[in-house]
Amino acid sequence: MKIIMLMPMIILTLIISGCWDRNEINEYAFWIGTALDLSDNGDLQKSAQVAVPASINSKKGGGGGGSEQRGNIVLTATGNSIVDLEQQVQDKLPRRIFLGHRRSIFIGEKLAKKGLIDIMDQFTRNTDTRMRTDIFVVNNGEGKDVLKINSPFNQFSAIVAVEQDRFCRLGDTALRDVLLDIGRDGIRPSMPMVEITPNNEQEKNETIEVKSVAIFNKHLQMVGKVSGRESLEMFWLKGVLKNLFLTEDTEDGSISLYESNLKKSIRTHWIGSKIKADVKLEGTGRVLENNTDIDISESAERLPLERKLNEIKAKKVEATIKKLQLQYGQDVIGIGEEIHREHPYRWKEIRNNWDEIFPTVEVTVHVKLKIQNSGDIGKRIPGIGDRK
Amino acid sequence: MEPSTPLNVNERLTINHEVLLQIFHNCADIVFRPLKLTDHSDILLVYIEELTDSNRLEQIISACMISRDFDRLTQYTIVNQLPEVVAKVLKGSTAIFLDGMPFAYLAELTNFKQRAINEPSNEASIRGPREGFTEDLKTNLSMIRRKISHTKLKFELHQAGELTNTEFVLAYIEEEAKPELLQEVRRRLQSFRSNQLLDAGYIEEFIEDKTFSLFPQIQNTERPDTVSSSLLAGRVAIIVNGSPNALLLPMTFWSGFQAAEDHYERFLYVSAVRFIRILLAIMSCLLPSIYVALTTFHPQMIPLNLMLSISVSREGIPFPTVIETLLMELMFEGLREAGLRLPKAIGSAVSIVGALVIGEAAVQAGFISAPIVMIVAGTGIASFAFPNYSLALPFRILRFPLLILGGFLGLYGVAIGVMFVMIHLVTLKSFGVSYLKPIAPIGKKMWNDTLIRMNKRYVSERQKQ
Repeated sequence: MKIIMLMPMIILTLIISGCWDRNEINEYAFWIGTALDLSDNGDLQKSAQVAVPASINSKKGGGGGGSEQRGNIVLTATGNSIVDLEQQVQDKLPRRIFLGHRRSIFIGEKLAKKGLIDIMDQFTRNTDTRMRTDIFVVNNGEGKDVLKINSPFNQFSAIVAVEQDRFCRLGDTALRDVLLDIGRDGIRPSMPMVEITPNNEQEKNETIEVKSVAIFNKHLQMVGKVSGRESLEMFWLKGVLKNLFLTEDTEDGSISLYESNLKKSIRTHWIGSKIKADVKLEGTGRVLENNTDIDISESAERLPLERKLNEIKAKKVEATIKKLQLQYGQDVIGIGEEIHREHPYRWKEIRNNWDEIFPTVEVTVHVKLKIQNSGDIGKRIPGIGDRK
Repeated sequence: MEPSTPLNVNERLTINHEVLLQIFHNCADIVFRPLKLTDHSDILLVYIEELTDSNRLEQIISACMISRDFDRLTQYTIVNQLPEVVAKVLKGSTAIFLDGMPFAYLAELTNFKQRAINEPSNEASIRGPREGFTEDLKTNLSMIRRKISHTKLKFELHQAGELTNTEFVLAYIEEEAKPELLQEVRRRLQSFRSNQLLDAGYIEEFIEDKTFSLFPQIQNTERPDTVSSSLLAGRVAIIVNGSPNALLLPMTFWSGFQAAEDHYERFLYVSAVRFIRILLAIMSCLLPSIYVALTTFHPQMIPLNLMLSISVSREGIPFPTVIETLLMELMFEGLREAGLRLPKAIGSAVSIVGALVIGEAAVQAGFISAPIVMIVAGTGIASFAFPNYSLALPFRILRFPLLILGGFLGLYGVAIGVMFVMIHLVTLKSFGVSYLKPIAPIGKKMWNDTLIRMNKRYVSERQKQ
């Protein structure tokens, strides 16, 4: 009997003392994307892409001018601190904002150049932030313009950017990766950049393109960007890239490979007071296009080709590293981290002036690409120069 | 019986007649049939017409007419205690009193209308025997005896219920069933104190370990093959006259997930299906509460696209999710209960109305969101996947407190609820056997016949159970 008396009490304590943060799903305003910009008078400007479930066209709606309809609204607030701005956005919404599903953060280039130190603290402190949120710098533009894009693929341009980031060649950089890089002293952060490409004739909606990487210094100010091939090589050196398409011009013609299992390893040595770094890049590949007369199925012909490809690639990578060293002087590929790992005591001596030392590091690059699969045929086109 | 009535059969027939008339006062089904034999002696037949084989009775009467050779009665006993005669007559025997004899002949001419052996309706199987128990104890025992033809199979006859005088049998296999278990069962059967025993469920309530537990601690089945295999595994069965359900004990949680067919079908398939059953069992209990907890407390845990579609369908719904789910679950349980008892013809009408009202109209009108309908439907399907009906009941009931906990406290509440249930299950015992054995406490035979069923070739005889 005692137990029967006790049970309601236990249940009541559970209910009364419980966390009353119950909120119906349709009383939340889902904050899908954030844009951070610098306003004209130097204030911080925060824009939010918020989902409007009622206007998300469902399948049963039958389309009918669906492209005109937006499933989201973009709200903008100007002020000083991120939290204050968040409250300003909240003031404009009838529902409680919910940050748990934010997919991406866009930072305007102007703000990136001014520096992100004041912004980042909030992301690390706020427990609502998802570390898997993707972070981008907007090339030559403002973050809020990206949020306003009405993509034909998804209602939310913030999600489009994330998906594009996954399939584009520049890998997937999340807030967590950037924060980790910021926390280390042997590497400088870098983030992919989105670009709003001009409207083309068929698509009257604007589209997003991800093709460059922004480079930041120690104080989280953007100092420059690399794009195209260089950005790919940079991410390969950093160890982010897992596979890439690569086209190289040999003297006999061009050859295209799909390289997977990309690996990098860096070894550092001290020669006198100079630091030397050996970079080794590896990968195995499949030939996709062969515009040379080489028969790839023959080892005797393939091996020289591989050797030649490796030489060409190594030179290009070396050039990229030189550019990083001389033009920007920022160690975005993490050679400093490698020194830290291999020579922890000597690293302590140089860690504070690593930015000055990095450009003087002598880097040699060895590329070891293997052609594992020649595709369906060995020679270019059957019939032209059959095997003798 | 009143104390004034004599206990012995009197030598004089007329006295016996009078006493019996008094005992069977207002018992319209009892027939008194005085006869005069060819040698002018009187005899009296007392029997219940509907329980007696009239053909054989006539044969005996005619035989008796010619000579008083009662040895020709196929089966008879000589009884001189009147109460015993009365009890036997009530069970269907025919009593024959002769003038001048201080005893009565009791002939077993019992024959009454009974249901034919049918396929068990609640435990149907695709493969394996198709016979199910009937209401007659003797038929039921014969079905078991036909499967286990060995002297070690014992049927201990008991009787209980002062008014119903119901016979029941404690069945076990000597040396397979542990003597301590048998002793414990007999001891608990002593505690049966009721003047009626109409079904096996009456006994179950008196001998089960924990009265206030949602979970059944004694298995019941209407399949003779299930009883036989359980007996062979050292368990004990109680079969009650008048009940087509036999009780099997001790029961473990996992035996509720075993269909009889599991032992006839190939083991790989059975093992796979068992996993599905357990998964569905968990679903039938937790699906609504987890849905409510996730959508109202932890929207972070739902993938964004799924959550957006849920929030689209929840747009404009007037009830909170908990209330919505609770309403729909109640509606579904009501529908099931209504359909269960109704005649088949009306039953289908109920389900059509229910499906239309719940499935279509409620969503169309915007009272209920579409995901809830799917959750309730999924829960419903899951709760039908139990091979053992009585084990499905606690899961059906537990769904509601868990749902309320989930609605108040989120996943924290669901976890608390599940923890309470687990604590209860772990402490539960059925006749000295832990309810979750052999998973908790963990046993060597864990993989023989619980979560998966091992091939019989790899399970030695000793290891069974």
